[in-house]
Amino acid sequence: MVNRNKSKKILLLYLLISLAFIAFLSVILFTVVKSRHIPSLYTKESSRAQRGTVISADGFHIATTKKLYKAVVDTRYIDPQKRELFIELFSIYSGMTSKAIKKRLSRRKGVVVLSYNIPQIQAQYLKKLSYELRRFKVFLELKNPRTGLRSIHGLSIIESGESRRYPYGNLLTPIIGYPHKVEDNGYTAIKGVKGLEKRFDADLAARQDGFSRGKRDVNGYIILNKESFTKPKINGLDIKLSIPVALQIRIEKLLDTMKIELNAKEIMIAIMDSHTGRVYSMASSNRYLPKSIRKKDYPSLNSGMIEYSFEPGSVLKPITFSLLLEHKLVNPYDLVNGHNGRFKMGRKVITDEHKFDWLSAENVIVYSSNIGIAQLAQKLSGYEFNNGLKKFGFAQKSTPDLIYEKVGFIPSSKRLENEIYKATCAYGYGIRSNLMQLMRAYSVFNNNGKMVTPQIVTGYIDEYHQEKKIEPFEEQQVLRGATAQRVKKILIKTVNKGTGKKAITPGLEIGGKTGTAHIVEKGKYVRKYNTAFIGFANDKTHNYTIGVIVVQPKKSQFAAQTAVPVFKQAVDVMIEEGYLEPNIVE
Amino acid sequence: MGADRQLFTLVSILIGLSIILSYTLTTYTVLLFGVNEFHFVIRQSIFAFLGIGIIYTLSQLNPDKWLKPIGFTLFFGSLILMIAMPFLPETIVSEVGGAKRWIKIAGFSLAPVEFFKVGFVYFLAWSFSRKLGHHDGMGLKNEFKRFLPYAVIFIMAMFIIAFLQKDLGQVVVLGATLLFMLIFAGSSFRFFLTILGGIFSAVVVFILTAEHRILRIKSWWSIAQNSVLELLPDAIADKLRVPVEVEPYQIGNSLNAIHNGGFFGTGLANGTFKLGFLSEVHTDFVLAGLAEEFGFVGLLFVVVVFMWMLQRIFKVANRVEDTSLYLFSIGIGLTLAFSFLVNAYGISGITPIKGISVPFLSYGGSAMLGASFGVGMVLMASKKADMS
Repeated sequence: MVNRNKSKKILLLYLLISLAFIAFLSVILFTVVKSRHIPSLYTKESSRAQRGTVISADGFHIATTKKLYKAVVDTRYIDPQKRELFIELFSIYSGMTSKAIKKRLSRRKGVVVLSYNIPQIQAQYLKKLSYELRRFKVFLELKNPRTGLRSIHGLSIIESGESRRYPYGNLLTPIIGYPHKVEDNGYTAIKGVKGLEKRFDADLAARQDGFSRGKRDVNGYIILNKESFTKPKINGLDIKLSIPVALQIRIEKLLDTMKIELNAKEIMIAIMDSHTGRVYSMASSNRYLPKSIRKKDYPSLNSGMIEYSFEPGSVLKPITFSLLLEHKLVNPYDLVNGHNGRFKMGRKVITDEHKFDWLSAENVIVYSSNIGIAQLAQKLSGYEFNNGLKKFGFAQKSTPDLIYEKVGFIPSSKRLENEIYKATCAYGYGIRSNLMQLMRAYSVFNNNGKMVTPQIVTGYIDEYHQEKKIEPFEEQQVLRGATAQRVKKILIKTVNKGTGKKAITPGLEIGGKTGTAHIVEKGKYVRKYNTAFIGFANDKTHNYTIGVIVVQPKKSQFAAQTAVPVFKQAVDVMIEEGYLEPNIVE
Repeated sequence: MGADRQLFTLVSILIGLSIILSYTLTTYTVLLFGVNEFHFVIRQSIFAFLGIGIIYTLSQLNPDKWLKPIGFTLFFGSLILMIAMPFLPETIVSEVGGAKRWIKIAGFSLAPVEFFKVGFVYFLAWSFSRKLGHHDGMGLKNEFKRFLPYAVIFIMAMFIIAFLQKDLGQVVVLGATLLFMLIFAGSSFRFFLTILGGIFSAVVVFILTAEHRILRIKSWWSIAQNSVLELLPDAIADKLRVPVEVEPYQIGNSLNAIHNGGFFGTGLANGTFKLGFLSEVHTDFVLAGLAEEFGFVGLLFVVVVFMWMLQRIFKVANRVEDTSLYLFSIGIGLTLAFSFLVNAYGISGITPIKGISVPFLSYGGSAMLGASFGVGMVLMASKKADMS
């Protein structure tokens, strides 16, 4: 009978099977309890935040940051049979020639950097390739002789640094400045050295590097769950400029042409909204490529706008005159003795280009009489003169948006009590200022006696494209409105009747003052000049303060033939670009 | 008498668990294959409901009328399919790694060997119950004579499975089932031992003739030695010690997963080693995946449910009067137990790994449906047993 002792047999079998299961459970328990070296379950990942972009008023990215990546591979882990496949695929994905890859690979055994300068898009492709290579088992599993653990090292694409790009070459230099590279743990970061790059370094600089930590999968990807930790990447802020590229490019071209025509060392111009202080253009004829600065660029690295401090000469006369008007010490129609172009004050002889017997106080400005203004200025006390110049912003920083400003100086009240100092200061000698300070001072006349502060950066744009606008800086009342209006009229007359005739533009309200000043070299005045024209151009709705300096023109020493034509051409450009609309009555 | 409700419930618990596992363990696989997140769980759910449906339907049938035709259909149907497979075109029979295991039918791949197991067990039970009585003083020679026809069929089947389908794990399970069924069918213990010895030497020859199999054994021993050699005296242990290569990748990660799970597991869906470390975590390494997320406790639960299920199957065997039903139930219990054990021993590094799935738990339709047929037929038989 088959079924004899059936129950016993089955029980025995069941016990046997139970024993086998218990053995299995014991081994599992043993594995659970016994210490075991398991691979790390966690991984972390960091991604560097980027420096912000400098954006023009019309939306062009003048300075941007590109992230660069490097491709690293350990040659020992590449399966020799799949080496060709690796080279071919890497070549396709990276754009490198397979010859170059082979050369790199055979350079040494071990960790090899295949490329340092991989742009972001290619890096994304290569990361995908890295994943595919794992799938195709291109990399071998090797034993680490030190730890005895087996592992696979594939192709890694690592951030190697960032590179600053200036897509428009030398545009807006030297105002925009330049950066240099900083090595930080094998990562090339960027830091501003000069100009806006330096001034706004803290804002542009990357805020917070991204960081994630959490459980991983076999490829080292982080599992994002409640256990994982992520710190978002916060890039630096973008800064928005008040300067539009379209205008800036044309102005710069204009300066380049004029520099050659006038045979000058440098020409600078600034165009600013007289009511808000927003700068529309700030240009120099001497520019450089921020990415490849050569030795001959060194003098251009400093921004002449604020770092070139000079004796302003005649352009200071309207300021002296406005102080006299403000203190009611002169009436524009008072007559002043012109001394026929030669006047001796103490031991100093003052001369005039245009000789006058008698002329009205107003015409002292219109025809730029040194003798006239020297005598008129004597009515100001030293304190009134010094304090007046201070109120006009001399010897102070003109704008917080630019750094390394040379503020120049003005004579002290005590010194200005002296007749001769008072006289020379009145026509712009013995005082130093830069172009931006003059721009600021002249804005008073075109803005009802209130002085604005030049502003180049108008807002910050964050990660989420939210723009935080910066309000125009507060104005300061320097003159009574009536005084400013009076001086403005005189400046218009200067253009229409006097030294600035070449600036006349039909349909626009143009005023300004010319100036020529000797240059001091080694404590002596030499036969080199700076010429300047500071003024304004208005239409019905726009008011601009415009200042031009021509440094050492060899063609002519007269502002009327150097600075004024530059001013005029800039106004023409502004008309063409739609910044000014002449009101021409047919 | 009705079919055994306990057995049905226990199997359903295991099948239900397999649905959960097929979802939580495939998070990485679906990404790797680029398929929908629910790709595996939807399919496994379909298999599960089909499986339970099969079990329920079979359990309702009259064993006297239905068991035989179903058993023979499974046996001959799958045998014919397996014989035909090498000759069928590529479009129907897909070759994976040189092994032709699956037939494509209506969008699904079917592995006939899973159904053959059940059919084979039925065939053995049927013929043993007719031909084999007790061995009362027959002598070894006569016993061999009596056994010869089965040996021929077995070797034929094994040839197909081992060489054409390269599925050694199934051979081991079927061979062991056959041996134990022989004992229960009434062969002598001496006969049993002789056959065991013969098989053992055949296995040794088989292994030694293929280099990659030696490597497999070696790599297994390098892990197993740590547990075994600790029990032996140092002098002997040193001689037996094989210079340790690092444990094979799969088993290493399987043990990592078990260790990482600890006693109570990382919690559902929180496992790490399922994420690409264990490449077949939802099929062959399902127990390792289970151990990681549900810990030792979870594994213990599964083992208890499985053992309970076996207990019910053996109880049916014990309580049925009919010999063929008795042998069939024993055989099904054995195939299930051996499948589980071969897999469990493989993933824990006790024996060299064999690609065999865990009954009811591993992802896969054929194994699920095959095992469902087995259990369903046992339930059908249970109606003739007094299970009270």
